[in-house]
Amino acid sequence: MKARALLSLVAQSLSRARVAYVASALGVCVGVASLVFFIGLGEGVRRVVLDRVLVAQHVEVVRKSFDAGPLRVDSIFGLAATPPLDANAVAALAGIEGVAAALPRARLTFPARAAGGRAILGQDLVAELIADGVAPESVAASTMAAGVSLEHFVDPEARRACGDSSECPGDGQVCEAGRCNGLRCVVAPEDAASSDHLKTCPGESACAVDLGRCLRPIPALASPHALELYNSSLVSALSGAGRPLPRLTPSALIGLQLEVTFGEGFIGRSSGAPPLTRRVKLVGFADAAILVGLTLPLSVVQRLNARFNGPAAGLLLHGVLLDVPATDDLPRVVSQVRGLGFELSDRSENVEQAGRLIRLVTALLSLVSGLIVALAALGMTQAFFVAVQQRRRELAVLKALGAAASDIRAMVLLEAAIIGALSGASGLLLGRLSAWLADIAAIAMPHFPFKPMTFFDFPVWIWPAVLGFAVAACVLGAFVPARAAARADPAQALNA
Amino acid sequence: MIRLRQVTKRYGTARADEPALVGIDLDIVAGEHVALLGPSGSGKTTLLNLIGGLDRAYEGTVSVNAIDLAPLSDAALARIRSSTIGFIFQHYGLLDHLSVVDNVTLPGAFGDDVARTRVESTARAMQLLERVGIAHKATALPPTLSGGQRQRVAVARALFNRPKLLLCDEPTGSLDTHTGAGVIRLLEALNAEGVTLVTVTHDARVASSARRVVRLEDGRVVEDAVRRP
Repeated sequence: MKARALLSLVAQSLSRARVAYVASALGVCVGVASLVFFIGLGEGVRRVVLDRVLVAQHVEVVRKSFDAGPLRVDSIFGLAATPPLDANAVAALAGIEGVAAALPRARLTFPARAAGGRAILGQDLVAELIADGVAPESVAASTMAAGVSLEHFVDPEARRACGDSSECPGDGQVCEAGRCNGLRCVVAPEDAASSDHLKTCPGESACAVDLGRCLRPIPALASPHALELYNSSLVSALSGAGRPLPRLTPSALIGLQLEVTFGEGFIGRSSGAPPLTRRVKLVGFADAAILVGLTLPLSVVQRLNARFNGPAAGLLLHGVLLDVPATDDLPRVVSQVRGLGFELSDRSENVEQAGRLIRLVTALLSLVSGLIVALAALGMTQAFFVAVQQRRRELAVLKALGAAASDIRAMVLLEAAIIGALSGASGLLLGRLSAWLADIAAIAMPHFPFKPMTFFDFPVWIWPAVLGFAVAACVLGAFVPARAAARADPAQALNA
Repeated sequence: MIRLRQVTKRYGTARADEPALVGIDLDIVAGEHVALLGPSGSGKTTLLNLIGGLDRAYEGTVSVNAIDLAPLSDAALARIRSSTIGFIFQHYGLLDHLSVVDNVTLPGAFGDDVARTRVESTARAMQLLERVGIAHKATALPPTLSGGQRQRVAVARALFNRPKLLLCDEPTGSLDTHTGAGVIRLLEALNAEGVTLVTVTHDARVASSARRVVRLEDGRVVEDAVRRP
């Protein structure tokens, strides 16, 4: 049968019997709409939870540990559960396929205290500082706030090679013996406790008493999630306690300087070396930063660890953050990490479980929607049986005029496919519209941490996949009636 | 053109079922006009359906143009119906939702020889509608036509693929005397052009226009007579 004639006959037939098919098509449309809605919601929630709340693309690898009663220990009877996290381990982890970067991390292994914030909060806050360190070049792999440049995130005590002082960064840096160094400065011991000594060094640099040199502030990164938590939870909690605090934006916070006392905090004082005071400047927000606290250049943390806890502590890594751009690669990457003898941090384990749970819930909701479409397809079977019965004589005439059984079957199946495509397309639009309305309704909901602009995410594959599903369901539903129509005895139909 | 040998047809599967046709032997040569007569239930329409390949459950041999229809696939049989045979039914068999011209072009959907494009199909249909005298109704829908006009459309449609054989089942059965006479004249003209006609009829005028009359009773041929011109 000619394709043009087939299409023409099918179009005329559908136009004639459109009312008869509307009920079944409506079922398919509703099923497809709910399928699109739930898949979009599942993907949207997964995106927010994994990408923003748990930052799934960053898997944190730690040494394997044992549960020993109430404690978790790295070794039992002196036997380590896992190889050390050192430069070799970092190289091995970076070599896993799908890993864009392996970011070594080290935590401060001594107490520290930070003070500051008057310019923003109206008063100085003093708090115990939790901090870790990452290599500056590793931060490039993470998402950074706009306007933040990596050149700000460098160890201020790193000695850059130079030919003359013009090649050194400003703020009192001069070229000495082929290396950039801070200007010499002298602070009388009685002045050290006040901030007057800061004025003796140009720009943002301050006189480091222990070095006798002007030193730029240590750059620090903060997590955007910490800011989100502060704005959505802490502000209202603390304001309710009679200490009204403003909501903060990244741009308001960048540039904030804190005076940090390393080696001494509220929880104690390091016995390894006298405390050290440095200024720390917030230079940006990055996903790679520690969730609560500040992230400093790795070399700063390693140098301070060595100062307060000995040279071995300076080489210690506490974790390696793997940057896995494609979250689909995560299961394979995690498996290889475990194969190397390491494990994931509790947070990354949660990411894996959360991802699995969200996929499961999405699959269940999609299954329910799929069942709606399947039921609609059954309705389609009924509708086509009735239609084929009503058109029995007409189909017999077509056979007498030269139509083969396969032509009749093709006609009925094409009608079903067109109904499936039209109802599927309507369902896609309805599902998308429902998602849009749900997002509008969500605007009225009170703010909560990580509240997204949209709860939905519609991957590109959803449109052809769901449309194909609708067409397949309708064609499948019409399959038995089509076969019955093709096999019908034309002589009997003509004589009836 | 048509050759039937020991053709027996039963409705139902049991051997004991009363046969509709019993041991029919019949030869029809090209260009003949054969009228199949007989009382209701004598097997005339059944015989017509067997010749047209619409009914495949029978014993014996049915050949059209020296091709045995029994072993043919459904698609091959459909090709023979499309290229060789035209059907005219008592109740016209027009598709009510298609215009007259679309009804006439319908056989072209299943055959490749006569018209390959839509323009060619429409031109061919208009030519046939001119011939049966109803071209002015080309865009009308069948329910708006009289019985005679509908049967003329059915004749035009049957001729679309230039068939060698026309199988007519009571072509004047639903028409008044005057209209029926017009259809008979049309069929005679076609036969004069070499088209083989096999016509099932109760109408004496149709029978008298045929050169050969085959009379059936209880599924058997009881008379096979050729009239002198």
